[in-house]
Amino acid sequence: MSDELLTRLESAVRRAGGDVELSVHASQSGTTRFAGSRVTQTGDVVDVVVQARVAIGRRVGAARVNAVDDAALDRVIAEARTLAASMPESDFGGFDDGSTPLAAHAPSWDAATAAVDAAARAALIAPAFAACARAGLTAAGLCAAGETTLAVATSAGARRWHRYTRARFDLIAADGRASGRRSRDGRAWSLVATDHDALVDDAVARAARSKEPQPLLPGDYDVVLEPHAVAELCEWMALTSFGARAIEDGSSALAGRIGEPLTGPALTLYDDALGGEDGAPTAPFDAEGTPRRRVTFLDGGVAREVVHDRGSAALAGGGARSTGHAPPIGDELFDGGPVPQHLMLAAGDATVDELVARVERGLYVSRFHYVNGLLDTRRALMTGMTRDGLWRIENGRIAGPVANQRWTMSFLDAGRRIDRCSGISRTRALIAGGLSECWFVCPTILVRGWKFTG
Amino acid sequence: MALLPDIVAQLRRRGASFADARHVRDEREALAVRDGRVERHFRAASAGFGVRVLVDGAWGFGARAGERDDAAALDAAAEAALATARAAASLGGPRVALADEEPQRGRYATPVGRDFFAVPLADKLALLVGVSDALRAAAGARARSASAHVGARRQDKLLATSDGTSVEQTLVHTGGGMKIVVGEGDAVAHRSYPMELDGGVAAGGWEVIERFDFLGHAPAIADEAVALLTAPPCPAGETTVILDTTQLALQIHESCGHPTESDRAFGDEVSLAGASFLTPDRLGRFRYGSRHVNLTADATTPGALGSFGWDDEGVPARKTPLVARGQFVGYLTSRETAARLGLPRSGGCLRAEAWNRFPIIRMINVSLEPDPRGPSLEELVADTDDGVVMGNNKSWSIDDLRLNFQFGCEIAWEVKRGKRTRIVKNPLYGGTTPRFWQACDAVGGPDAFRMWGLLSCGKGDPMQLMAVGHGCPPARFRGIRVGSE
Repeated sequence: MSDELLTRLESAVRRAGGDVELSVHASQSGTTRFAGSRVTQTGDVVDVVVQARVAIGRRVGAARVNAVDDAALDRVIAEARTLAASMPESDFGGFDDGSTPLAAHAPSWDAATAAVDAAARAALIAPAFAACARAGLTAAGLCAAGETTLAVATSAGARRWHRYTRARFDLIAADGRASGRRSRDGRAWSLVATDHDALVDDAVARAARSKEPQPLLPGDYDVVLEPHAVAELCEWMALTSFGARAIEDGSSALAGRIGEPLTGPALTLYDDALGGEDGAPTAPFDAEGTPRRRVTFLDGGVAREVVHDRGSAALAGGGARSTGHAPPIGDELFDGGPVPQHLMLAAGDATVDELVARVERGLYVSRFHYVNGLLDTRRALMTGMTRDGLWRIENGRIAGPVANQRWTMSFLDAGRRIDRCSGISRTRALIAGGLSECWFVCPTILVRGWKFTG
Repeated sequence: MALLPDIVAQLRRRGASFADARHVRDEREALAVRDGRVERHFRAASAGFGVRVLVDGAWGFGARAGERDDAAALDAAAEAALATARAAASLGGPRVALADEEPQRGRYATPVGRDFFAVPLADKLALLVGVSDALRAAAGARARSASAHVGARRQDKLLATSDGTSVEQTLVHTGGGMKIVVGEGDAVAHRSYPMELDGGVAAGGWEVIERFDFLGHAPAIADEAVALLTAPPCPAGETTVILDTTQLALQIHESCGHPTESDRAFGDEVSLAGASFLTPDRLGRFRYGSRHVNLTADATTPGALGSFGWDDEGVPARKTPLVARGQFVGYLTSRETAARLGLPRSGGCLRAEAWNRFPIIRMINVSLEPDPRGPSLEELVADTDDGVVMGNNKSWSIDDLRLNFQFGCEIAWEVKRGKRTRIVKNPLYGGTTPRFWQACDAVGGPDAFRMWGLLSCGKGDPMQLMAVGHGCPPARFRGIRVGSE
């Protein structure tokens, strides 16, 4: 598979002559989505996107097509060459030459997951429907599996290939007034993992504990945030502050503050596409074929660095080099330049029970909903809602359910108020528009004085 | 075209009670310039088949890449659709039924003045570099970055259904925008035109871009951005809010468009974007807004992003009232949800982002109708003793029932005794949807009506981005909570 695809790409590059880069994102995806304990959407999709970039001196043209036969590759290279001839000169510094070897990375392809079909997905969903029915609830959510192949070949000598499997299982058990939710977004091989029954049982139990939620007075509350809630915050930091473009125009919370403490010492945030923590799929190179490296944004609260692609590094000057974070090809949503896609918040050593035990009066938060981090990006000011499980914490124990609340909070301020982090992290996958796939691996955290506005 | 009717007939013979097959060829071009340099440019083409079937009352879907004569790709998509439907049917649940629709035949094409794709790249670059330079020049030393972009998308779509529909359409969307970021010391501010995110987008060709006159608006946008650097924060409290059309369009999108999606009302979208407070038991019985509030869904509006000939299951473009004199009266529907609601016909809102996505209920053009004798924006201001005018969305957040919202704008002006006074920065307003719309005491007139387009309405899982339209005049709302954080 790898040799066949790469050989085809290299042949096309040789036939074309000149400075050429071919980048491929191929995917096979099976999805079954359900609600009210019935399937609402299902599908089996196979697609490929090929991007050709051609450089004529420092003029660069780019074109895309969704086919990998020889004729299609020749056509897309020819179109990119035509466009290059009309482009102005740029900071182009050459395509990746393959001289930097890929860093060691965790495996993330699993034959069993790649083979999951619609019948196998149905077999995993059926027990969830049954468990919900036994509890007088209905099931909503999604079961999905698939695989992604990345390949890059350049006339400068790069020859890269990688594949990973993806698996998600998301279950909301609900009765119309209360809901409980559990998800597994990590572990490429988790669709057949043994914790599936436990996940279903926990969603049902959470729904039972969510009935008759009580109102809450607005104010500051200590919060224990589960990993999916933490991930939403990290996602907005990735979008607004951790890419080179936001540093360049000064809108990043880190702009002009590299080396300064921005949060407390309990917060370390980094991008790592190599380690495969909690089973997040690895991707050892980006769409330009550049090897990815670990990039630390906040190290014990101190601002350190941001991600670059080849273009932003050339623009930044001063010896900046691509960190291997070019945006994925075919992406329509993340057009903001280089972007982290494997964001990790460093775990601590506490158990979740220990975090709860440290709260005298506060809230236990399962999820956030519709967070927006554009209010004031310099302060990393965000707003959002809670959903799918919010409980009062009283004297170190989780108590009764609370109605969903709006909050507005600075991420930097929250980072100063982190009391402890749990030792176990969980993955949240963001499958955004186009081909964007981002993974966020976060622990449960205890933050003092979260601002709820009602 | 012959392949598609043949395959849906074949699927019927193989046990599908309904089948539809689409072929979509999608072409895009995007060009962005930042500080005089090309930041992003590509041309992209994608073609493939999407096949949907109903087997034993359950949906299945398969999609494969290929040009319209690629019979093998179409067959593979059809096989995948059958396999996924049979698996879905094995899980049981209520059988899907479809509202009736007359078989459709014909062709529709977006009227285009000048084809964006045929405009020389040099002309596009000249415009964007000129805009970038003009923004920087106007902002002076405080300019941090000046950017401008244009883009277009053309979709050639074929659709055949097993109940006799066979239609063809070409949809073309074109647009662009610009943004200036300024800074002084630690302060940063920005302004965009005509809207943040996608800019100004409409159905049509290069003439859409020319209408926005980016160069002519660059100095004012840059001046406002610089003014925001030293502006005071929007004061907190309850006051009268006037929303201009650039913000009201998003308010309509989030607090009317999404909650009137009937799949959300049935809970089908709960696992991603959420559900809706507008549950079916409230249809025709719920006071959504004041008597000034009339909202419609209309896919027949000329030049709007949510306009087409037929939706992706062959329902012709229609107009449906959603809110009439403040009363909730209608949903955005598909043939499936129309049947669930007991309606005779679908509202024609089933659409897919591309050939490789399962079609779902999407907004079309969801608009606030003007008051036939309503005021202009400045007449609204003149009629307001104390309040704030907000424009251009900057942040958006709303809960999973579409009730509790908070929106932020790029800029606001305080209003005192009928006049705009100072600019204030980081304006936010919030509330709950019915209370907000019930607080509407004035809607602008037909001359103040503007149709806006959003390209990136996200919904579904896997996520689909959809182009939708929102028209509105400015409107005024009393007793709204505002502030800057």
